[in-house]
Amino acid sequence: MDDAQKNALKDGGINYEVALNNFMNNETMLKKFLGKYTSEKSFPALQKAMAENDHEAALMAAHTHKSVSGTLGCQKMNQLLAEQEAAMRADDWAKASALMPEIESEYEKIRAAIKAAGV
Amino acid sequence: MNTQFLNSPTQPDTFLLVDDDDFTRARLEMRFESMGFFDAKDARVLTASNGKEGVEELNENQREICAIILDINMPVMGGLEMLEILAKNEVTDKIPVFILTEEKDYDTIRKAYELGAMDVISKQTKQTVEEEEAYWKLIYRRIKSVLEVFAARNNFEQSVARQTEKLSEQNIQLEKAFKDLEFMYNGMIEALATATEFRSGESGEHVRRIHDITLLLLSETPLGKDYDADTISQIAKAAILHDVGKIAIEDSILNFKGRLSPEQMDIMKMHTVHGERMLKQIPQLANLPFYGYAREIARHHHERWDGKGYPDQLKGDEIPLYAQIVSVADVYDALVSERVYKPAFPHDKAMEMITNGECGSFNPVLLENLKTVSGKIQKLYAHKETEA
Repeated sequence: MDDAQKNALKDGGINYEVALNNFMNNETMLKKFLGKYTSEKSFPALQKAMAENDHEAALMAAHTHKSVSGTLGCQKMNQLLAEQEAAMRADDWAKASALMPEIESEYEKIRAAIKAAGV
Repeated sequence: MNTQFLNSPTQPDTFLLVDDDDFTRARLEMRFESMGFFDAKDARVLTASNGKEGVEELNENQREICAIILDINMPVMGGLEMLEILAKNEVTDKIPVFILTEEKDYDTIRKAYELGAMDVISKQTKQTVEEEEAYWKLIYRRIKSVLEVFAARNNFEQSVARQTEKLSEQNIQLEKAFKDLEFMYNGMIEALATATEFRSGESGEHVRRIHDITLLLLSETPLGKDYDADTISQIAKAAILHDVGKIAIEDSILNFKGRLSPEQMDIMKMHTVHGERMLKQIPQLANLPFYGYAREIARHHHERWDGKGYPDQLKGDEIPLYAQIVSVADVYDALVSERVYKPAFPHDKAMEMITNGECGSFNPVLLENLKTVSGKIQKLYAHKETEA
């Protein structure tokens, strides 16, 4: 990956160094999983469950997507989801819902960055 | 740290990683492969996306698996449920299970430990590479030390199992050697007894019947109460050699047709003394369990309860009980067998002659017991006749 690509990722909230380290500095594997991010199912599942007020599914989806974002070095997303998951576990669904717009906008940012980096 | 147990060629080298998230699985798989758990090789990693798949992978690859890395919250079958199955099948005794989870609920963690998890490790992603590496260094140490303990224990158990197997093989060989030896020494006894009978022109049946009657009186009456089964069998064997001293008696007397003169009789009586001496002169016999009995029986099987027997005129309890038993068996067998100087007496007549003192006096207790197995003794002979 060249510097332009790395910068694109960084601008989209992806900590390239941490992400690469998570894949034991294997850039091919990192690219493969960045490529899978946009078709990953837990994010649409989170949106759907929140829309349908399905608490159990929402918790599971938020939890999974938190792992996914952590693995890819999407640190802002990871923190937002940790916050949302904690709210859900505390049964504070108002807060969990209130976090959704920011989570969705972060998601779009990451998607755009991955697209811009061309991986 | 001692790592020799983790580097033997047969040591399991595969982590079973159970986590429902593809991204996490990929990350952990690469991490565990390259953490350097084994000096000579990279660890291998098998993955499963829930507890059910985890159990299936385990069943197929149990021998290769060195540890199970298990998530708690998974669809289909969660980590605790899988752990319960592992505990029930005693897998947790052989393969260490590490719970790697974001779960912080105290009850869940306690339950995991109760079910036999070795360690519960908090699953995290860190903000910097340095923090991430420090985190994994710590996990590496926690896992590696447990792996070493399990590997050492498994090696120890395997080595004990190998030793046990070796010992049982040696036992089988020893048992066979003992059997061979017993066969050989039984053969030696029979050879001596056969030589005796051959010289005195008797059939092999005589010694066999003395053996059987002795065995019967010792094992089926209170006479044998002070002996265990093995001793009884040794005494019966010793009885076979009671007349071995006859080998040393000259032919003209041993095979004299008719009643012996008092002088001839005195020579004939010496077979008791010769018998004991002969046995004494075969050093190989001295180590055998029946040896002491054989010597005493050879010398004293013509003693009588009132002291009027020979060669030592022992009286009453001075005569070893087993020698008394062989005496009465010998007399009975002589009475019911045909001799050149007498016909074969029927069973009842023989019993009567023994109990009324016509053949010398016997221990009254011995006679009482003889009567109780009288029927069985008679059958012993009927059986022999049909066999012949």
